Amino acid sequence: MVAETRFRVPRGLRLIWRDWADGTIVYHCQSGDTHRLHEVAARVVRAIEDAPRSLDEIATLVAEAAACSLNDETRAQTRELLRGLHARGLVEPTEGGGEAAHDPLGLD
Amino acid sequence: MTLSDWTEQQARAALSGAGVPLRIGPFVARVGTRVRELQDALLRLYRRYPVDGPGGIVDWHVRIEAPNPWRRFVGPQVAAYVDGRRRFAPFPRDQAFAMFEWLLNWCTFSRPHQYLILHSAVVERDGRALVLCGRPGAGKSTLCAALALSGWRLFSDEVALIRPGTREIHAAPRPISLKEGSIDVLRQLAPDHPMGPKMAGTRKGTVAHLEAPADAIARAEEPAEARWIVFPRWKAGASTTLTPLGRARAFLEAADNAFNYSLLGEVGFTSLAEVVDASDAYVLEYSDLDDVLGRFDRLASQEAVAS
Amino acid sequence: MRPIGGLLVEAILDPRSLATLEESEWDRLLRAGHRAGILGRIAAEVAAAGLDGAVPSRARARLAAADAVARQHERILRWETVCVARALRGVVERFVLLKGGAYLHAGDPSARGRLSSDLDVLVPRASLEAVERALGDAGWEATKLNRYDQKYYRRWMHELPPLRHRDRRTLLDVHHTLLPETGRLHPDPASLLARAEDLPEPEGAAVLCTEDRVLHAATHLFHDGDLGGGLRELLDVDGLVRGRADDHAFWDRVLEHAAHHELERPLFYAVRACRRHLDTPVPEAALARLERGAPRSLTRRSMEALADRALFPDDDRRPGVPVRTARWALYARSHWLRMPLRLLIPHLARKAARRWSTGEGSTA
Repeated sequence: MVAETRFRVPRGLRLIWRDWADGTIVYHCQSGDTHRLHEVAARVVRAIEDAPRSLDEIATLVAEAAACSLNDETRAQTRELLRGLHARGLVEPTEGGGEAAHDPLGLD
Repeated sequence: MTLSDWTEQQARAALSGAGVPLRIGPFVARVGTRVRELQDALLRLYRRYPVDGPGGIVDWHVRIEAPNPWRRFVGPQVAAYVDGRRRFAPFPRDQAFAMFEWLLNWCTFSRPHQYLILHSAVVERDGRALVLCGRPGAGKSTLCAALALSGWRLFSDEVALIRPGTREIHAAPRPISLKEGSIDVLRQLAPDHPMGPKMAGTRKGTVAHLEAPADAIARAEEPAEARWIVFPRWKAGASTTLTPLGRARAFLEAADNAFNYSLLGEVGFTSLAEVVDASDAYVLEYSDLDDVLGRFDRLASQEAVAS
Repeated sequence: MRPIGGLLVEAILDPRSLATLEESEWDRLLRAGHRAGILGRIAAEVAAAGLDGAVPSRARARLAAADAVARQHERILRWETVCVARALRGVVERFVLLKGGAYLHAGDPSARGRLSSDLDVLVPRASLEAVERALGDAGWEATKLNRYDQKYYRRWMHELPPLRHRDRRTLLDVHHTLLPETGRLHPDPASLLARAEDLPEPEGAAVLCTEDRVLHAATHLFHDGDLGGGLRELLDVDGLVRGRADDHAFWDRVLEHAAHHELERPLFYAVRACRRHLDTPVPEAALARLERGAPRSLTRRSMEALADRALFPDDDRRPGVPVRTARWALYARSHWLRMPLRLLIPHLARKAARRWSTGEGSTA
C-alpha cells in the first residue's frame, strides 16, 4: 500500500554536502557521482537521511519548502522527485517497496 | 644549473643521447631528440629551465625521433615515445615542436593524480592565483599570454594543479601556445619577446609558442592560493564585463573542466570545494585585450587594498 | 645495476627495503612498477609499512598518484558489484565474483592497491540468457558488435561478449565457466558455484572458495592470453597462498580441487613460478604431489623459460625483442589451448589484420 511505504537512504550511504547561495551540491561516496540538488530536493534528502519518512511526510515537506498547498499536484511532484532520487541512488524504499520492475518504489 | 649553462655542443649531444632532465615545476621530464629543428626550438625556449642532476627521479621520458630515415625527403614524419613506448600517430617533421609540447601536455593532463588537475590557465599576482577556466577556443591562452607579459606571473597556460586539502595551486610553466590571430596580437603586444617556430597545418591551424617569462621559470616552485576563478568568453565588439558567478555553478563548471575530478572521488570533491570557497568566481565577456588587462589590474589592487 | 624484476618483487614482499633505496633505483622502480601495473600495490605496501617519511618526495608524489588511481578502481569495483546485484535480483540466486572483485570482497592481499576496475562474474550457464537480458535492461550493452567477434565469444568462449554500461562506461565480463569449452581442460562450473561462499553484502554476491580462487588465478596466469599482467597475476597467486604454508589441509583441498577441475597443469606452472620468483612458501608434500602432474621435461623447460621472460617488464626501453617474442609465444599458446588449430589460424589472422589497420604502435 502506498501509504505504508517509507523511504530511507540506502544502508551505508555516505553523502558529502556543500551548500552555497546558488545551490546545494552533494557527493555520493559509493557511486562517485556528484549531484546538484535544488532547495526542495536537498531538504527532502536531508530529512530522509535523518530518518525514514513516509510519502505523506515527504509530500508535506515538499509543500512547505515550495510554499504551496498539499494537494494532488504536490503529491504527484513528490512522487516524481522520489523517482529521480531513487534513480540516482539517493533514496530507496524500506521493506516491501514495488514489485514491478518499472515501479521499484511502489508509487504507482 | 640551467640549460643555457651548457655549450650548444654539450646540449645537442645530451639531447641526442640519453636526454636532458628538465625541471618543469614539480616535474622532471627527460627530453631527447635527434631531430635538429626540434633541438633548435628546445635550446631556444627551454634554455632557462633548470637541469636536474644525474641519477634523480624522472617523471616522464619523452623522445621524438624520425622513425623512418628513408622518409626524410618525402613527407618526413616524427614519432613520439613516452617512457620507452611509442605513442600516438606521427606528426609531420616540421611540426616536431608542436608535437613535443602536445606530448608534455598529455603527460601533465593524464598522470599526476597527486593533484586535482583543471584544464585552465593560471597566473599569479601577490601570492594570489587567477584561474582562467574554459573550453579550448574560449581565448584563455591569449588572455593568459597577455597577463603573463603584463605583470602577472605565469603558472601554466594549460593546467591548474591543485594540491588536495589546500587552496594551493602549483606552477608548471611552459611555453604558451598561441593560435592563428593570437600570434599577431601577442607579437604586437610584446614584439621582442622570444617566440618559437611558427608551424602551419597543425590540427589547430597555425601555432607558435611564446617563451615562458624568466621570472615564471625562476619561481616555478612557489605556489599561490586560489583567489579568482574566471570563465572568459571572447566576443567580437563586446565591452569588458565581469559578472559574478555563484559558487555552486562555478563548482560544476570547474568540475566539468577537470581532468581527474571523477578519478579523485571524494578527494576531488572536497579539494575543488575548498578552492571554490576560497575564490570569487566570474564570467568574463570581452573583446579588447588592453581593457581586460586593466580590469584585472583593478581586481588585483582591490585585493591589495582589502588585505 | 640490479635486475628490475628483483627490485619490484622486493618492493612488495619486503617494503622496508625501500627505506634504503637510491634515487636512481627509485626512478627505475617507479617506471617499471607503473608498466607492470603494480605501482598502486607498492604505494599500499609503503603506506602499510609506515614508510612515507623515508621515501624521496618525488617518489612520494608518484606513489600518491598511483594510490589515487587504485582508490578509484576500488570504489568502482564496489559500486559495480552493488549495481550488478540490483540488476540480477530475482534473476539468479547468486552470482560469483572473480579476480579483482573477488579479492576485494574477500579481503585478499592482492586487493591492495589493485589497478583494475573491470568486473568479472560467474553465473550458471542455464541462466545466461536471463542474465544477459536483465543486464541489458539495467543499461549494460555489448561492446564487440562485430558479428564475427560476437560469434567467437558465444560459440567458443566461456563468457558473454564483454559488456559496457552505457552511462558509467564500466566493463563487465559474464562467465559461465572458467575456460572455453573448446579448450583441452574442462573445469566443472557446477562445483565452482556449489562451493562458492556468499558475501554478507550485496545480496546475491559470492566469491569462489579460496582453493578455487587459487586455481582460477593460476589458470588465468598461465592459460588465458595477455601475459602482460604477468607479475601482477603471479602476485595474486602468491597472495592467496603465502599465509597458508603450514596449512596442509588447505593444500590438500587445493590439489583435490585441481584434480577435479583438470587444472593441475596450470597450478603446477603457477606454483613453480611463484617459488622461483617470489619464494612463495609451499609445503613439501604439496610440491611433491604437484610434480606428479608435471609435463615432460622439454615442454616444461621451454614453458618456464618463456614464462620467466614474459613475466618481467624490460627496463626503460620498449620491451626488447626477447620479451615481446616470449609474450607473443605464450599468447599464441593460450589461444592454441583455447581453440583447435584449424580455428586458431584464421582467428589470429583476423585479429592481427585489425590491429595493423588501427595504426596503434606495436604491443605484442
